Amino acid sequence: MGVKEQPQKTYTEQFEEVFPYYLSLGMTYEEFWEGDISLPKFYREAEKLRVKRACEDDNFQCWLQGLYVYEAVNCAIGNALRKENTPQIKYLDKPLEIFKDEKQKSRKDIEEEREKASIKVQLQMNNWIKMFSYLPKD
Amino acid sequence: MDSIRLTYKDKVYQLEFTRKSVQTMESRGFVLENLSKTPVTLYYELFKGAFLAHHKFLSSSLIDDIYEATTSKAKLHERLLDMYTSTLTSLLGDGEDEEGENSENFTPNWE
Repeated sequence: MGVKEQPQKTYTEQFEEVFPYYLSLGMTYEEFWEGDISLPKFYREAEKLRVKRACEDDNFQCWLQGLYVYEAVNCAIGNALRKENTPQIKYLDKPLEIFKDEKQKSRKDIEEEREKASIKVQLQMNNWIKMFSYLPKD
Repeated sequence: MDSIRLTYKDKVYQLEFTRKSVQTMESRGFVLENLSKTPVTLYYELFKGAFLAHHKFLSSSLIDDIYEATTSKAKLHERLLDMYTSTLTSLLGDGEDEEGENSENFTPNWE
């Protein structure tokens, strides 16, 4: 009894096998069957980037979730072990600001910042005046 | 884009394979594996098939004439064969995902 050789698949059969995969990557029927034959390579590369980006997003989501859990546990344990007459620790009353830099500064914020800066300068000046007052005059 | 441009009687012909043209050729009985058995016939079929993508309605007699007029046929055959097989190899990725030089190894940075 001899070994029966499997008939080799035709190109068409092999195309049809992988066609659904490329459709799932967003390739159209025309691109796959009638388009430039090098297109699949770019679809595969784009898919790699998509997967990588999804991983990065998931990673960030997990990290953020961990941060909120940490905050909640911190709050619960802090309150449980809290001494009398110490204020209650409150959980964040709103979500964390992720895109702080994108938030446009309001006029009030700018004024507050200026005020803080001027106080800082004034304090520094007072320190210098004090420092120099100890020095001998001559 | 992998294609051959031939000029015959001041007209430019672009020879190229798409998966559709390969499918059409196979439906008409073209089997690449038989190339070693009947190379003359199959190389000619390969040449004819390369017209399907851009010059589908070109008459057989004109394709015959172009083929006859073509010099350095060995080079042409080699190129046609390469273009034909590329329709499949371009789908398979040549191991670029796992061990190719462009592959990015995933190394988690936790300890």
